[in-house]
Amino acid sequence: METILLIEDDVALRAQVRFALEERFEVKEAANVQKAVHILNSERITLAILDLGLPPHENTPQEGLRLLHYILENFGLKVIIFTGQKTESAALESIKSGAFDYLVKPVSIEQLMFSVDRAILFRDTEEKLSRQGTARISFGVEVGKGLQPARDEAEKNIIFKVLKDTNFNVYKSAKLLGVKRESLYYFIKKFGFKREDIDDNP
Amino acid sequence: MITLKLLQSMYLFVIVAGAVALVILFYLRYLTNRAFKVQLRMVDANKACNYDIALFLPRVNDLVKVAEIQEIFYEISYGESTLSKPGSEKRRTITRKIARPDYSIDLGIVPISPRGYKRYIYMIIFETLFLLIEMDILMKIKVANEALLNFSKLQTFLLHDVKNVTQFIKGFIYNIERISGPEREHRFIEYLKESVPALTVRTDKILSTLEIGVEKDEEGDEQEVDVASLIKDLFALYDIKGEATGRGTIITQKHKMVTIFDNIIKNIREKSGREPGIESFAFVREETGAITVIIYDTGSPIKNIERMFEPFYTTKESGLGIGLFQARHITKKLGGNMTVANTNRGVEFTVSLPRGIISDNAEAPKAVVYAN
Repeated sequence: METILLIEDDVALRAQVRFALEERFEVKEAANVQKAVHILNSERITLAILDLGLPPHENTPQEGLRLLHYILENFGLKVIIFTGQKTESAALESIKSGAFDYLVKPVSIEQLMFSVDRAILFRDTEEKLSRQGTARISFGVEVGKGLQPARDEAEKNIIFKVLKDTNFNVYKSAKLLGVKRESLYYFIKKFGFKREDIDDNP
Repeated sequence: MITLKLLQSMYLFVIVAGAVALVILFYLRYLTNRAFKVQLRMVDANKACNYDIALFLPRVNDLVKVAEIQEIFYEISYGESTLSKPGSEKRRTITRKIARPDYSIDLGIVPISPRGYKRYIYMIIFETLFLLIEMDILMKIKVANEALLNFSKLQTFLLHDVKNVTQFIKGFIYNIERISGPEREHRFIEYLKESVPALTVRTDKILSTLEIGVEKDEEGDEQEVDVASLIKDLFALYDIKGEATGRGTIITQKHKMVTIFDNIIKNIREKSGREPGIESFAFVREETGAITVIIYDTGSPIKNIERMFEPFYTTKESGLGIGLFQARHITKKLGGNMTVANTNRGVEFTVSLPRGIISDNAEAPKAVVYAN
C-alpha cells in the first residue's frame, strides 16, 4: 500500500483530507517542517502532499519551499503542492524545483485524488523505465542560450545520476556510460563532482 | 569752522533722511508682518482642510491676495487624482515645476507688481505654498501606500484562513457523500471532534479580524471560562512545551478569551520556531472580582517591546501585526489591561481582567480537548 505524507498545518482541513485519502492509502501526517522531516527519515513514504504556508510563516511559501527542496534532494519523492499561496513566484519555484503538481486551495478532493493517481502512475512508469535502463532525468535550461549549455547540463545530470547509482565507482560508471575511465575523470573534474556531494544527495 | 557750518546746513537733511528711513522700515515691517500672517493663515487653512489639497487650494486665492499676488494657477497630479486651475494669459507670471515618479506639481502665480522689493514678499508666499502642497501630497501618498500595504497584508492573512476553511468544507462534502460502514462513520466523527476546536479558533480569528475597529455591544452567550484550562488547551494545540497553573474563571463570551490568549500563545509559538527548546509558563491568580494571568517564555528578549501592541507593527516577515493589538483591544473593552515586558525570566505578558457577573444564561465550563 502506498504511504502518503500529508504536510498541512490546519488540523481541521488535514483531518478531512486524511479521511478521504485513508480509503485507499496509508496516511502519515505532519503539521510542521520538523515533524515532516522526522517522518520522512523514519517511515517509508512514497508520495508527499505539501502545504507551502507552514509555521512559523503561514502566510508566505518559504517554509514549504524549503521542505520541498529537502524532500526532492534527499528522497526523490513525487510532491504535490497543495496550497493557498497563489503567487506566481511560488508556483514557478515549486515547478522549477521539481514538484509534480501545484494545486491552489480550494480544490475539489476529486482533483487532489486525480493528481495523486497521476503521481503514482508517473513514479511507477519511471521506475519501470529505470529497470529497463532508461532513467528520467529532468533539468532546466535557458533555450535562448543555444545548445551548448543544454548539452553540458544534460551531461552533468546523467553523469551525476550514474555516479550516484554506482556509489561513485568510476570503473562501473564508465562502463555504464560507455566511456573510458580517463574521459569520466575529465568530466568529474569538469563538473567538480566529489564523493561527499554524492553521499549528501542519496 | 567749516565743519560746523556744514553740519548746520545738513541738519535738516539728516532729520528728513532719518524720517524717510524710519517710514520705509515701518512699511517693510508692515509688509513682512502681512506676509507672515498670510503664511500662518495658509498653514491654518491647510490644517483645517485636513491636509487635503483638493479642499485647500480653492481657499488659497483669497488668502494670498493681500500678499501682492493677484492669482494662483496649478496643474497637480498624484496617484489617480489631478487638480487643475489654468492661469490667465498674463505675461508676468512666476512658475515652478516638479515631476517625481509618484506625483507632479506645476504651480504658478501672477504677482500684482512683479518688480522691486515686493518680489521678496510674494516669493516667500509662493515658496511656502509650494512646500505645503508638496508636503500634503507626500503625506497622502505615504498614508495611501501604508493603507494599501496593510490592506494587502490583511487580505493575505484572511485569504489563508478563508481558503483553508473553504477547503475544509469541500473535504467535508466529499467525505460525507462517501462514508460507508459504521467503522468509517465512527472515524469520521472522531476526526470532526478533533477538528472542532481548531476550526473554532480559525473562524473566530477570521471574524475578529474583520471586526477590528468595529464597535459593537455583544450580549448573551456568556459562559464561565476556566482560563488555566484554556491556556493548557492552546499550548497543546500549538505543540508548545508549556505549563499552566493556578485557578481562575471569568464570565464572558468564550471566543473573546480564545482570541486574547490565542494571540499571546501564537507569539510564543512563532518564537519557538526560531528558538527551539524554549518553554512557557502561565499562572492564573484569582483576586476579588478580577483575575490576573501571567504568561512568559524562556526565550530571548524582544527588541522594541513597547511597540508590540501597535497595529500593523511586526518584526516577522510574514506577520500582519494585528494579533496582539486585537488581544489588548478586547482586553480593554472588557475593562481589563494587558502589558508586556522583557523580564529576568523572559518575555512576560500580564493580563488582568474583571471576573464578570454570572448571568442566568451563563453556561458551566466545558472540557474541550484541543489536538494538533
